[in-house]
Amino acid sequence: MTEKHCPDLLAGYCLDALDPAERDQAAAHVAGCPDCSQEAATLANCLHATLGHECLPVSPSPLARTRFLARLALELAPEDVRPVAPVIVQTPVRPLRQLFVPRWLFAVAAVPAFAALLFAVGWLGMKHQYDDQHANLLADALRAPHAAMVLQGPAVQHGMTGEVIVPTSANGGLLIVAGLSHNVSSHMGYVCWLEKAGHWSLWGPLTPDGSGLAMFVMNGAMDPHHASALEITLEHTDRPMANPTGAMLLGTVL
Amino acid sequence: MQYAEAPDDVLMAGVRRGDSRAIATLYDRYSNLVFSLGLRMLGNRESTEELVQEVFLRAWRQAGTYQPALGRLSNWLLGITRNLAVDELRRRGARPQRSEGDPEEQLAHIASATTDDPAEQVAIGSRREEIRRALDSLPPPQRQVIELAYYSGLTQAEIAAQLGDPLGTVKTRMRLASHKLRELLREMDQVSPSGVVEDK
Repeated sequence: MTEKHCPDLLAGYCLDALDPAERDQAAAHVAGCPDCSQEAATLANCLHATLGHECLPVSPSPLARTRFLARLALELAPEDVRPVAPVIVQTPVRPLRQLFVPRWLFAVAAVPAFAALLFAVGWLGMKHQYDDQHANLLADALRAPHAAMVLQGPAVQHGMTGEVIVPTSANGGLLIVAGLSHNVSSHMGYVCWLEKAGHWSLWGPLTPDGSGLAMFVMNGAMDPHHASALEITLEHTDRPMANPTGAMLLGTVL
Repeated sequence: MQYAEAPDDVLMAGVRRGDSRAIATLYDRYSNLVFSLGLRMLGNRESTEELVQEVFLRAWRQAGTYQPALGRLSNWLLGITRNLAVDELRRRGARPQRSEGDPEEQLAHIASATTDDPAEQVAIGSRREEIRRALDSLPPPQRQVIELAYYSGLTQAEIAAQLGDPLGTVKTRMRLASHKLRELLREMDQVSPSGVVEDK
């Protein structure tokens, strides 16, 4: 016994095309009728197998993957996403370049969403479980006014994607890099460099989680506002570093 | 464990265990499919990329609700995609605009959209062609009704109002179209007892 129970409703029910009263009627029937429940599943599968697969294939941007992994990371154990303490080296090695982010962007009133994100991510680092509400903070930050600088350079050819999210009206920033390899030497590590007023600061190593993602909140000396350059490099971690090693440059963001 | 070549059921088992590499592999395998449907429904890339993230986050959180006996994984993901896209369309109170980009740009995406393996590209193209033939075999009024419901998220009453047809006619066309598609899929031998296309 299948659709004869609700012959005019089942197709519309599968397509969520019924009016509310009819939908409730169909839902109540399907919930209590194994045959109609199976029939509804079969019809829905047929619709997805035809109409769902018929669309012209188009790819999302690589950044969509990065952002998905970043949001996923917020739902994982904190060990996977907690940033390591920064090592700050201040050595003037390059002349100051023009500021990347226009100053007028910072004249706008503060956006509470990003401040909340910074607070929440820092606070969550002490927690053992992320919940949906906190995971959504990253998405909220992405929706707030911000500039997003995309990772460029050799890293992209090796499957890495990354970006820095810089709020236009609040301090701090967020670096997200995906596609980091786990198979690097124990003496090597991914490092983030930031140049401000001719001084290089570094943060590292960027430890990828199980999916190859590394993310950290950039504040204090690593605040990307007014920075003239940001670089991701693979460096020897057992020797002092004063500035990025060009031969190991993976990508430039700013 | 190497996930890249693993079948879907192995990946879903990994997702249920909380292995982020498994969901990342599923993303790599199905994000094009999800994105393509989402883009057709929502009409712009930015909204669709957010939709894709949400689809895979839902899959991550709700992996325990997926029942292979009720359908293939790709159809489950498409179901999530469509539900979220319809919610978005109804929240907007608007219908999708024309898809972004000119046809040349969209065609340029096709080559990179699925796989680098030429044999697999041919297989995917062949499957799409079969599906297109099945849809083409529907009487145009039936196809129009079912596409308006599936892609635009219109209710039967909205379709009747838009087309100027009686509501009963729209319901009948929708029912006939869905049943005919099921029969066509069965004839194509692409449908299992639960009515699905073969996945990996």
